[in-house]
Parts: sequence; structure tokens; C-alpha cells
Amino acid sequence: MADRHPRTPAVEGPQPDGDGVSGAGRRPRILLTTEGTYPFSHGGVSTWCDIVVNGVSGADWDVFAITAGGIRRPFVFELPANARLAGHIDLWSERVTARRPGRRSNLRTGLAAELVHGLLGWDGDPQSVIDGLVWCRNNPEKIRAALRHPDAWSVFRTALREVLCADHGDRVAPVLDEQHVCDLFQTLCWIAQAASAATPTGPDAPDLIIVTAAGWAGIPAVVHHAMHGTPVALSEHGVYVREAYLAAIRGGESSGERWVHTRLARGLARLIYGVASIVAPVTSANAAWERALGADPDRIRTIHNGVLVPSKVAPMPIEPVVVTVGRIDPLKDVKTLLRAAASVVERMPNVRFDHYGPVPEGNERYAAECAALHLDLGLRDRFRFLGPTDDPYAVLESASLSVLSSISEGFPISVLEAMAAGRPVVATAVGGVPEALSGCGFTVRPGDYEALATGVVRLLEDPVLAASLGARSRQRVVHAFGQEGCLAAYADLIGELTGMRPAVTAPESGMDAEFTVLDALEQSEPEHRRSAPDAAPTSLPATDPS
Amino acid sequence: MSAPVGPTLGWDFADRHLERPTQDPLEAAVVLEAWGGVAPGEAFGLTMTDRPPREATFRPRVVRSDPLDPSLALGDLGFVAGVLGMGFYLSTLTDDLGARSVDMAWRLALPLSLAIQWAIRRRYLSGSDGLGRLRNDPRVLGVIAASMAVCVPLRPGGWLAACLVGIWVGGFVITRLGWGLVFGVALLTGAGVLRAGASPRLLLPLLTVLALTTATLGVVRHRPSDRLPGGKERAFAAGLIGAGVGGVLVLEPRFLWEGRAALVAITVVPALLGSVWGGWHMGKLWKVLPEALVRQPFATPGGATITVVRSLLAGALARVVLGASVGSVPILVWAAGGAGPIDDVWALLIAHLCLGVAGLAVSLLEAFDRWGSALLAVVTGCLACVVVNVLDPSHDLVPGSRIGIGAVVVIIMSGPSLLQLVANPARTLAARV
Repeated sequence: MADRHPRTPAVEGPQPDGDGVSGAGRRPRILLTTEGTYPFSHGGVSTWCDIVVNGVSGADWDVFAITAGGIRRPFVFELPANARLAGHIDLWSERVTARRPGRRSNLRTGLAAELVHGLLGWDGDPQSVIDGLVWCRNNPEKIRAALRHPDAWSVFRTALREVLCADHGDRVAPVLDEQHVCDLFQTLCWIAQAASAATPTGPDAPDLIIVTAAGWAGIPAVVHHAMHGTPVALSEHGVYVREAYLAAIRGGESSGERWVHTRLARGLARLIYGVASIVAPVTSANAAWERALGADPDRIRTIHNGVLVPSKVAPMPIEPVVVTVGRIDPLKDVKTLLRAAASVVERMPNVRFDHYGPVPEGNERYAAECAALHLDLGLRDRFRFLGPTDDPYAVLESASLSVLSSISEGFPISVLEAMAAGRPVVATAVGGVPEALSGCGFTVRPGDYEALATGVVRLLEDPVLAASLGARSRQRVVHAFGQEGCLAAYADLIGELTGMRPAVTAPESGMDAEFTVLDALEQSEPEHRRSAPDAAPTSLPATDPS
Repeated sequence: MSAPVGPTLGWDFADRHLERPTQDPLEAAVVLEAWGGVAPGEAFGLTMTDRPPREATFRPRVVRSDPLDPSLALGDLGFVAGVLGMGFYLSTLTDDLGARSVDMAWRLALPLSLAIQWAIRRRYLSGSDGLGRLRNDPRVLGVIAASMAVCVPLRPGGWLAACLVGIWVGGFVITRLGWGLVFGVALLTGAGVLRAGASPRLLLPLLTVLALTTATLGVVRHRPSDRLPGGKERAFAAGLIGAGVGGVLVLEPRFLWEGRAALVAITVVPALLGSVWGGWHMGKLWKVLPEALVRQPFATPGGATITVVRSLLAGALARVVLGASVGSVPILVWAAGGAGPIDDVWALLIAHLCLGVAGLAVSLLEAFDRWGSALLAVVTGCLACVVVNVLDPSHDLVPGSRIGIGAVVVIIMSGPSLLQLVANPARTLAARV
């Protein structure tokens, strides 16, 4: 693929970076592999990629994107001058790579069987598939012939039978039908295709590969690592395996589909955990999953997401407004949010909920269900779906507080942004949310809309408490989750693995170094209470489980 | 926060929430976390305890598949009517322009049109929003225009070939738009106008412009698709296969158009009717095969699925033969009434029927991405026609014999690959990537 942007020239000699640390003489080149995200889609991982690629400006970034479905995809993120799209493969599309006819000798007809044993077996060794994946890279023209060979099919079926019969972790032995088997075989074919995709070599060879999800995005990285020894780091935002289970559950999949999808996700995740020199979850909550799935605890290093902190805190609005920023997705449990809103509006009719977020591709049905529920609950203009926003801080200015109703999260940037904007947060206690909010907001059990509503009402009825929590939140972000710290941590990671610590472009925060909780309180106080200088933060609510 | 479940109740909580037995400890942990509010580390502790495995029972799934669109069948019939209409043009054209011009135009335009049609079908029209994909790529018009432009300077009959390409390709798209019947009626009306004395040099270009404009407007008013078009290589291969099928038809040297041009074209119609019917039946494969596969538990004998596919294929073949046979009756009656040499009509009808079967075979192979086998079959079929032409320079064989021989060769060459596809339908479906 042609360069969309000119390369940033390598800088000779020691290069000071934003922290004043010298590099080793040249800019590190990093291959960033993404899956269904940057630079083609919005979302938390994409935002993270955008922040890191722009912020770690002392590195050259090659983005290798994996998408699916043969959909026309324009860039939704503009790549900076130090980044380019170095590869893009589209799975489950009619545009297959590497269809050159080739000699049919030395076909690896056992490829699909190897993948079944290594990736699907509960006790399988995912590292055993690396040889096969490297073969795919070296013989792209033979993949189709190998997988279409009659032996490939029969050996694959035997392997699958063995895995299904083996003593494994399933408590309910899965029963597959022949269509499941066909789908699985096709999926394995696509894994082979993903492995065959060329990654940059020669002068463009990466010094480090950063994988942004422990799934398909890891396949090119694993192959490149095996062939060239390039170190791999995994930055895990959600937990790939957990999200695969959630998708299977909410999709109402049959036991066979569920087994195939979750086992494959588990196999791919374990494969990447085994190869990565550093597994960097964005929250320590994810680390528990990573350890449980076999990641070496010594290689796990939590690097929290970070956000820019706005210089000023907008005053609280007079009219109570609850803002939510997040895509309309079952993982965000928008239905619970709607039910909570209905409960709040019943108690406080003047409250308005503003939801900002896109309907991602494939979620149209869920969005329609949400719209129907909105209608059923009679929320009318008390709950508005306002579509995506490019400026979360602007929308947070109009907010009295922010709500998050997700059933799964990594370390949500939307929560950090609300905190940075000095707004109190009521959120479900999932993923890294309790870690982010620790002592600064209300957390409730996922799906418990009454508790969510109670938290919202409590803060709306007690502006002093709300202001106090908002101020604490902002302070917490400033100290622990600022963008500068996050970028520095990644620059450190890159430096550690490549011997070249790249320069970091300091984000334009505008934060006053002397900023205190009292400043925040003053700034975030509701306009109508400005005249009450004795307003002071009260203690955290006793019901706060975080 | 405190866990809502005790250490022994983790599995039960998950089972209750899911309203089914939980698959494995990881799924239980996910449920406890997402719906129970249990912290990850704690959730694992609650679910890693042993639990006796349970046997699941096999319950066939319900497969959702798009229903077949009956308007497309109507469109296909319209296209047949269009071909019939073109048949009526030929004798008038031969009278006006000369046999050589028409012969040349036919030999050039038919393979070229089929090539473009097959390529368009593979690259754009193979999905549910195919017309939207076609709309996104205005270069297709350029390809059609370029193909026509290549024909125009050729002598004799180049301009006529260009017109035929425009009408046939435009008609193909019009058919996909669901307006095939209108297209057929328009062509039949044109035939009447031509017989009434209108100049073909005026009418043919007019029809060409009309067909292409209608097709373009129809596609442009379609909603654009987000889906990318299919791969160029496969579309190119499909185009070559289409050209090969046309090649078998035009390598028959006894298509000399003096006097009998309409008869030659009209004898194609029954086979075309049968092919449309058979192809329509075979299209059910994408619905029937998954339905059969979900009913069959893994690792049990797959006889039922094989039977389903074999019956479908046999049904399609039967429809081609039956459709062609029934369609042939009026032509034979007409020929027996003194309108044409009955032996030649018989020979042509049989040859075209063979070609219909051959077309079905290679289109099946192409649809299953076995384009290499399909291409080999049509190339061999064309070569067989050439060999017969060399061995029979004086054209002693009956008209249509080359078509028949070429088609039979195509069928024979496709046979092993087709049998392989039918013998193991699950593998056939799985290995389409």
C-alpha cells in the first residue's frame, strides 16, 4: 500500500524527548496492529491509538489494520506525519490476498488440524501453531491449495473430534452440527490468510510491534516475531476473551457457535500472551484475566489510559442534565441506562439525560430496540440520543454529572474525561471503573438500574456532594490519569524493548500546577450557589461501594 | 463492593442468569462479573471449582437465509424474451447488411457480452446489495464503452457488434433491476419496427443507447452500497469463463445467416428457458445446503446432506432438459410446417441443450470458486470445436455439431470437479474461502 503521509526523517544523534531522556540515535519504528478499530472506526481503542501515535511523536508508526466484512471504510482518524498505513487486510470479504497460482508441492495439508489442536483444545499449546502460521507467510500462494486438499478436510475433522472428546474445561460438552464445522474451517482459513499478510521488512522493519487486542490483531505480530525476533507488546483495553464470551451470550448463540467463538478467542489470546514481552492492560482489573489465561505475571504491566485535563471547570448547569458518552452497544447496556433514566425522571421530572455516541456497524438492531424501549418508557425529550461527539469536554460542560451503565469496560476514557471535567460519575462497577473512580464516585452493580437511578438522584439532590466528588475526580485524574503520564509510560515501554526511548509531545493541558481541590470546587459549583462560600464537600456516601 | 453470590453459588448464579447450563468456568466468571458485580479475581475463585460435566443434547438450529426473489425469475424470463426478439432482427439485418457482417458481429459480440456479464455478476452482483456495489463503480460504464469502441472499427459488422454488446450487457443489468420483461417487450417491439421497414443503422444504435441509458439510470437511482466489490482476479476469471461459453457457441462455422438466421437464434431460446429454470432451482442450494448441514450433528454419517445436494443438482439438470424440451415443441412444430429444415432444427436444439447443461456446470464451479476447473473445461470445449473444424473443413457434419461436441467436452471436463463438490457438500461449503 502506498504511503499516505511522508515519513518523518530519522533524527541522527541523541535526541532529547519530552522528559529529557536521550534516545539511542534513531527513531524507533513501531508496527501497531489493530483489529476493527484505528484508523477506520471510532471507539475507545481507536482513541487510545490516536493519542499514542500523535503523542509518542518521536517514533515512526506503521499501522497494520485488520477489518472484516468487505465494507468500504474511509479513515475516521487522520494519521499524523509520523504514521502511515503499512498494511490492511479485510477478512470475510471477497477480496482475498495472495491468490497467485503456485506449485502444489509440499502442501501443509495438516494446517487446519494444527490450528484446531493448538487454538481450540482446552489444554492445547497455542505456541504449537506458530510454525504453521509462519508457513502461511512463506507460502501464501499455497494456502488455498493446502486447505482445499481432501486430506486437509479429513485431518481437520479428526483433530476436531479429538479436541471435542478430550478432557477439557467444558462443563457442558458442546454438540456441533456440520454447519458449525464449516464455519470453523472457514475461520481457520481466514487465520491462515491473516498470517500470510506481509508486514514491513528490510529498511522498514519494525523495532517493536504493539498489538492492540489479544485476538486477530496478534496474528501478524506473532508471525513477524517468529520470523524476525522483533519484540511484541500487547496493550489490552478490554479483555478479548471476556468480550468474546459476552458477545456470544448476548448474541444468543447456539452452544456450538459459542464454543467455537470463545475457544478461538481463548486460543488466540493465549498465543499472544505467550509471545508478548510485555502485556500492558489498561487496568489492573484486566490483569486478573490475563493471569488466569496464562500470561506470565512478571510480564504484566498496567498502564492506565490518560486524558487531557481541561484548564477550566465549567460551572454546573442550573438545570439538571445527566450526560453519557459511549457508543450504542449491548456492552454499554443502554437499556439499563434508559430504565435508570425513567426511574430518575419519575422522581425528578426536570432531569434531562443526553446520550452522545454513535451506532456502530452491526448494532442497528440494538439501537432500534433501545429506541423502542425509549418510547415504551415514555421518556420523550427527557432522554435524548444526540449522536457522536468530537468534543466530549464541550458536552460535559452542560452536564451535572455523568453516567456509565456498561457491563464490560477496560479503563473507560469517557469516565476519565468526565472526571477531568470535574463532573461526578455514577457508573457500573465493571473492569477498571472502580479503580478509576476509587473514592470519587458512585459505583453500582451492572444491570441494577434502580441503584444507578438512586446514585443519580442522590447527586442531583445534593449539589455540594456532587461538586465535592467532581473536584476529587478531577484531582485524581490530574495526579494519576493524565495523558502525559500515559504517554511517558508507553515511551518507557518502547525504550525498554527497543533501546530507543522516543520523544513524547507534551499534551496541551493548560492545567495550573497549583490547582487544588478547592479551586475545582469553586469552579464546578453551580452558578446559583456561587454565593454560598460555606459550601464544602461532605463525606463520601456510605452506599458507595468503590 | 460485596459479591451478591457466595463461593458455592457461582455456577448456579451463572446458570440462572443464562437460563441454561454454563459452558465453562470462563463463561461463569464473565457472567459473575458482568451481571453479578463480582470483581475479576474473585469471580475466578468462584468458578474454578470442579463441577461434573453434563451432556448436551443436539438441537438443530434455525438458519436464516434470504428468500429467493421471484421478480428476478420474471426478469430472467424477460431476458429470454429479449433474446427471442433479437432472433427476429437477424433475418432483416442479414438482408440489409449482408450475411458476413451479421456473422462477424455475432461471433464478436456474443463472447464479449458474456464475458462482461459474467465479470459484472462476479465482481458486483453476487451479494444482496449488488446493484448498490455496481453503482459505486462508474468505471464499469467505461469498460463497456471501451469494449464497444474496440468493435466499431472492425470490418465488416463492427458497429453492429458494438450495438449488440451494448444491448446485451445493458439488458443483463436491466434484467437484474427487475425490468427484464419491459426489456423483452421493447426488443420485440423493435423487431416489429424493423420488419416494418425501419433502418437497422438507425434502430440498433437507438436501442443500444436506450438499453445502456435505462441500465445506467436504474443503477444510479439505486442506493449505494458500503460493501466493496469482489476481487478483480476472480471477476476476470469469470469473464474468461463467460467468453469461453460464448466461444463454444460462435465456433460453429455453419452459422451462415442467409435466410435461416432467425431459425438459428430462435433455437437458442428453449435451452435458455431451461437454463433459467435450472439455474433458478440450483440457486436454492445456498438455502438448502445450510439447512441440511445444521440438521446433521458433527461426526455422524452425512448421507442426508449429500442426498439433498444431489437431488438439487439432478432437479436442476432435469429442469434444463425439461424446459428446453418443452420449449422446443413449438419450434419443431413450426419447422415441421415447412418453415425450416427439420433435421437442422433438431440438431440445433440438441446442441443448444447440451450447451445449456454445460453452462450450468461451469457456472456452478465458478460459484464455488473452482474457476480454474471451469476455465479449463471451457477452454477445452473451445479447443474441441476448433479441432472438429479442422477435421471437417467441408462442414459435412450437421449444423450445431460443433456446439454439441464442444458442450459435451465442457460437461465431461467439469464432471470430476462437480462430482467432488457434490460428494462432500460440507467440505465444498467450508473450503470456499
